[in-house]
Amino acid sequence: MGVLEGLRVVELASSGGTGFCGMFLADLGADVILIERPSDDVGRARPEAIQHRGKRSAVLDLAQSEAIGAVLQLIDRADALIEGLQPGGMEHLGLGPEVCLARKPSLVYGRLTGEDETACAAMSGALWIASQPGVPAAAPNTLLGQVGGGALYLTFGVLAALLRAQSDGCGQIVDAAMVDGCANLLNMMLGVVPSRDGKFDAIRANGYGRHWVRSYRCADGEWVRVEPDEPQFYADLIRRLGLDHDERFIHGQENRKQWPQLAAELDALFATKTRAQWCKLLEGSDACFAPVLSPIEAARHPHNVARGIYQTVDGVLQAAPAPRFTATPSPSIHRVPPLGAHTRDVLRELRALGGTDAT
Amino acid sequence: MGVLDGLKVVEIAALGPAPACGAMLADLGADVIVIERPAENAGVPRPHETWHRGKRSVVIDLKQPGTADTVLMLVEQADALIEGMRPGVMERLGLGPEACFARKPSLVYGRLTGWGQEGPLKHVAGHDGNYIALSGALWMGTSPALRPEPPPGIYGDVAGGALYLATGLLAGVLRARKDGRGQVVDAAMVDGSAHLMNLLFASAFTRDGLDQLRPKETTVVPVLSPLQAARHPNNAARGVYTVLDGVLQATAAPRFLRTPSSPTAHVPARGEHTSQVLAAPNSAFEGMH
Repeated sequence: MGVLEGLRVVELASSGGTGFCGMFLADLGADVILIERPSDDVGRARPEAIQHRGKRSAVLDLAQSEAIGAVLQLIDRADALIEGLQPGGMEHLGLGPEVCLARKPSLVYGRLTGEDETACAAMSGALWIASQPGVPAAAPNTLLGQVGGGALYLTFGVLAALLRAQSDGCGQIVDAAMVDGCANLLNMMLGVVPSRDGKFDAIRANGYGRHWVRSYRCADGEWVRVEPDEPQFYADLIRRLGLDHDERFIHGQENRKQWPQLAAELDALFATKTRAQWCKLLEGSDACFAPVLSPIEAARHPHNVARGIYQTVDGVLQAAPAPRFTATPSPSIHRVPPLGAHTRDVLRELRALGGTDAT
Repeated sequence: MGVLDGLKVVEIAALGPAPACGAMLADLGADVIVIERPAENAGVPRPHETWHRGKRSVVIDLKQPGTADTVLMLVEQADALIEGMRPGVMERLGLGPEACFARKPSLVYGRLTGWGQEGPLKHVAGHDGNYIALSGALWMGTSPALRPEPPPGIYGDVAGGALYLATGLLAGVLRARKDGRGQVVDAAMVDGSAHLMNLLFASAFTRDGLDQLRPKETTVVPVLSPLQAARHPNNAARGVYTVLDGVLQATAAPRFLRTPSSPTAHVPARGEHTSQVLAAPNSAFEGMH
């Protein structure tokens, strides 16, 4: 089921973004065989490991040459491989790109590189952009590094290379380096810098100081977010806030010197009502408004509920597959396989195709 | 040149992330024709609009009768379409999915919006920060000690939007090349920005548990600005950034060892390719690569 039904992917388990890439492909219907190492946990349920939902887990001891042989046989039948081991790790195992592409010339060999997500985010410029000026840098390095700059680019790149391999029969290495991806995430906003006096600070979090693009704290300590950038939407917000008689607010987008003062006044205004009260007043309008929700609160919001964005499976909150496809919808959220749940199945399939001795 | 050589894409220009999706495909070699509205800056260089780099720009006034048919001629030759209007606008222009599938059944029709094609908020105005506020990503991505301010455009527009649509379009095209069937890809930033948190949800079951995963002050030094990052020897050696026509920008990502992407392409002026494309709209994609 799903748009990628029929696609076969071998994933070498490692911590971090590779697992997310495998989940993304499995969400869209690919058959992802996850090769994991032996541990005491074999067979234990692990519903919290949602980065492995929908995959088939095979435990193989990669220190054994028979196991490497089995992985190579799986690769022979796969369209793509994804890995995020330490540099040289795959080569050391005898599973490097030269070996694999020699056996299977159409293989797409996806590598997620960059050992430390925080260092990659810091070195790429992304951590600086995602942090507020004037305070110590603090940004979600997993979202920026492993997922945003890493796994999403790897997934995109693997599909691009598969499309190419489908037309010319030739595979290749896809090098998804977190530092490249983190920088690429910034591209759209880098294009905005020249229109903001060439100042990079102006595209940082909280870096431009517009009172109409800002998070405001409510009476109950929760937050709301407004962003009515277009003049007609801005006018709608000002009207709904009862400020449409105040010339300073009416022309507030034009006079930059007044932004800090107007922001301070709105700070005080938003602090007079709770988040729920603001939602009643502003949600569904053209004021470009939304409450700032935690994921647990987000899971209960009517829009998100109507779309089925969040679901709890085996007690674990998680987001449904995205994006959505009309003709080949993704199945409902898959369960997480226990470690090694499919080892026998996978080896049996290989045996049926010509034999392996791995156990 | 690049891994997506031969992929043909029609993009209906919009604000926000849809153009960024088109640029990601163009970076990898796709032939992206962007349909833009008439405006005073036609023909004027605009190197800072990096979200249009590497595309061909055609000016068509879609409000004029008969122009939809010209776009449909382009669609007939394309693998994919990208649009980022509010739900219903493309239909009103005569360019909705039905009109396009009638001309090209295998088309992958990509729609990029904040709230999605369905749901109670689908017609409501909003921007990047609103979508990620509602999905939980703004809360998750900001320090509890600070005002929850996101970097503009990163988590919603680009990560949760453009990248999900780009990936979805390629998945749809892979499928369409096998079974000849196109379809709509509904990429909603509220969906995408929730999905990209899945790696964090793996270890937290409660709001308190999730709270522990919110950003903390980093101890890594140095934290480089994009300008400093561009000059860092490792990044310079890799060519992570480039300055083109005076504008600092990141190069194509990811990288492909057999079919590397061309050097970063210039931004076309608005309408730079109008006469070239409209001279023979029935063969606009022929011979480009």
